[in-house]
Amino acid sequence: MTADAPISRAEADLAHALFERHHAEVYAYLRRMVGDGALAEDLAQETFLRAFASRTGLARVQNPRAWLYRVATNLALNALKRRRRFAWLPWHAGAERQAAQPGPAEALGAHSAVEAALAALPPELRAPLLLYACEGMSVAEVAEALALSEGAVKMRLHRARRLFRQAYEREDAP
Amino acid sequence: MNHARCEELLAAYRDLRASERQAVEAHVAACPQCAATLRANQAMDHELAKLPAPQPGPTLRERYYAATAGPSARRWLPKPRLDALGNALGWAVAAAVAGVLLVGLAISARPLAQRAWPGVVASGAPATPRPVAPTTPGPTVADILANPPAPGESFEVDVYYSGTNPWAHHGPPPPPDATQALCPSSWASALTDEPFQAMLSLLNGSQSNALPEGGAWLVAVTPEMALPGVRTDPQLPYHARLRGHLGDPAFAHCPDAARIFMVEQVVQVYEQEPPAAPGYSLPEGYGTWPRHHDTALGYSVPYPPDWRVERQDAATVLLRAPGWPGYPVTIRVHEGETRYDPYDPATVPPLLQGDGWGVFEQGLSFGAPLEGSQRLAGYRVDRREPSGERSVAVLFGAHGRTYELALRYPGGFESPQPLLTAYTAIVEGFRLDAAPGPTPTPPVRQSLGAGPFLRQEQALARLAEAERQPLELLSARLVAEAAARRWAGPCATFAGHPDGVWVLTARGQFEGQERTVLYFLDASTGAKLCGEEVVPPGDGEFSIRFGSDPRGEVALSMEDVVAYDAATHEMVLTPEASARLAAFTPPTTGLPFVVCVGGEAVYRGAFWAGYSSQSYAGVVIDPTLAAQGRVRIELGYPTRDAFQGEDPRADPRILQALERAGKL
Repeated sequence: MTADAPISRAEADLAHALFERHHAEVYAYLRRMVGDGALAEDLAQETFLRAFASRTGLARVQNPRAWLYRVATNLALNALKRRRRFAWLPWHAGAERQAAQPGPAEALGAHSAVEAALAALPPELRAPLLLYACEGMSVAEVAEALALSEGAVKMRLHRARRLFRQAYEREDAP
Repeated sequence: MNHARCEELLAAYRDLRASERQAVEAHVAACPQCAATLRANQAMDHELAKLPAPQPGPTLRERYYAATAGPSARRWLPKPRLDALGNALGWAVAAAVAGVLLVGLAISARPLAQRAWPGVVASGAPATPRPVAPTTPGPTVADILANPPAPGESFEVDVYYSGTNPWAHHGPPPPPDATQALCPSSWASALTDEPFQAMLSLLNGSQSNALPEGGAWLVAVTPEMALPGVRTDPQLPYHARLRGHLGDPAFAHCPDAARIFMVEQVVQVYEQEPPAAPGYSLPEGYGTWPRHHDTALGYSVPYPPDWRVERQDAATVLLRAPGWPGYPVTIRVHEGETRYDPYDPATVPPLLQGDGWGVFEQGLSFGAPLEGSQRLAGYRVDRREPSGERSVAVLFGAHGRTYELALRYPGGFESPQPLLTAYTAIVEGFRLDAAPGPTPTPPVRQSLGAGPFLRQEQALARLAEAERQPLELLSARLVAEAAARRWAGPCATFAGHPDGVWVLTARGQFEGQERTVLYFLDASTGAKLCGEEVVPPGDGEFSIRFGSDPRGEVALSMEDVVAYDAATHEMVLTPEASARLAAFTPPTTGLPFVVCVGGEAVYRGAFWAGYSSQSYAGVVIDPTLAAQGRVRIELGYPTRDAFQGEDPRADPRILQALERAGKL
């Protein structure tokens, strides 16, 4: 945007265009991945700042959308790992806080049986199912977004679906 | 096919190759269990696809553009609420992301005891059940600032701490190369004589409050924060007597260094947690609020019963609260609608100019739209006033007017939260007498301007100059802005409204590799608008490309073709592809294309529009016929009589490729 930046306006614009085009869906995806709206916003911002930082190469990224989802997924998985670790550490020093630790479904702000079943999946399985079913990606795109082989994506989808069904039936039971 | 394999394939049923699909279908027909799995998976996809998409708040856009506004600036704006855990986590994650694991390590790897310092909460002391009054009043912050003790000299002070507010943030992620202690954020770690509300709720987000310049406040830091690159939030009680010192050398480089108070000990806790604040919700009695109705300007707005309505002029009305007489809500109607053109980020309409703006939509502030809400969408603008106060305005555009609902509000120790909540309720309840029409589309130029435009070779020369290398041209077309946007991938939102766009596919060396890039150039000036890499053709994949090179710009890909009739060479296209093609206007002398399988050109032809009066002896596609979702590859234009040569369309390589993709 500024004249002294060592990049062309068009490259910055490409990054901005990516932001305008995809930030809402990337945010929605991150929100479903991590549950927390504010954390999802942080991660979404980080995703697009990285896109901006690599703008010179971005013009030649074959599938920028998949690239964005790859960055977003990695950030989300890291955040969730960290959260799991934190959840076990009583670093807020309140036994009462620990007792009140929400379960995964509550932590993800789940409101329906579908959302609760989604929240019950391990994040590594939640990501491919969200990308395939909610974001409408093809197996090849999911593979690109998660840096996995197509075979691995199919396998994860298969496992995700099985766990999802089990969790859904539990949630749905009276 | 065995049962287990079938179940695996069913997990990605939508994406199966034709041969796999056939095998799966055969198995499913004979296996009730797999049939049930298929139905369950389809139901699952349906349920997942219709989950409501959570929407980001307007701050995401503000923060992104603020962070990318400078050459390397990563300015951090306040952001919406986080719970206390998420708060620290957010920063820890951000820090880790920035390549600095210090914060995470400081918190997670270090045993808890080391985090503690004498008397501070980490000792596991239970929260004080009810506030305890200071036994003998200690010195106040005002006293300390009036007569500052010597640097490093310990003293005690009774204070309120703003950092217990779970929405407060303690600063941006640290830079990866920090060699000094990071400076604390004053508003999030303020120690004050009276409670200071660090975050204010406003519209559908929150806003950081500002400390009054020269006011009675100190900024808390704790010993671990003196380490270079460590960002953490001091864990202090809400109201307590603290012992500590000013003038710690680790923070001498910080702004407000004279106010930075290094906490040595929590001497006595008066209140561990702040009193429960009323939630941010629709004010009580909202249902009985009267409405101010302006029939001339076509709007109505609710206001609290004890507020006064004052007309300032024909276009302006003030709503004044008895408790905040100096801060009325101003409703002003301007001529002309305010619209932001997303393709022209450099030009922000005057009413949107401020310290930050974003989109605003009714219905999100209090969790659900109010009864009768029109779900109006517009913009929100935030400004800092020279007086140190802030202002916020929401703008709705409709019927040739802009309706502005503005509020100036104080910061500092005055807590204007009730005023902000009432303003939010007024904005949420604002209604137009006649609902607005659909949002107008940005002023994209639909047809090619009059020029003059660069010639193809001039455009290529400009591009080669910009890229500092010779480029091999694979295809070129001069199109209107709208057509260029329709055809582009990530480049579809390039900035500006050029009179014409040269769409060039060129090959060159990028990052040590030979790549094909699709460029968009302003056809008048030759300025590069955007570039994106062209997807190289997949092995054995059918595509129709512009120009005569199989590496050129894709006109129709396999994904655009729903079905292909081998007898008539008619293609059923996706709605998106047919709309794109129908809007495409090739010159009357046609535009060449090449039908490819993989990287191999099978035969060539030309897009030839039905409005052309010139005839053509080759294979043609008339894009103007694509509107019905189908397009035919025909021989000769205007009729088959014009065609010369062999019919190349039924080449086995093409038919096999289409067969493999299940399109035949």
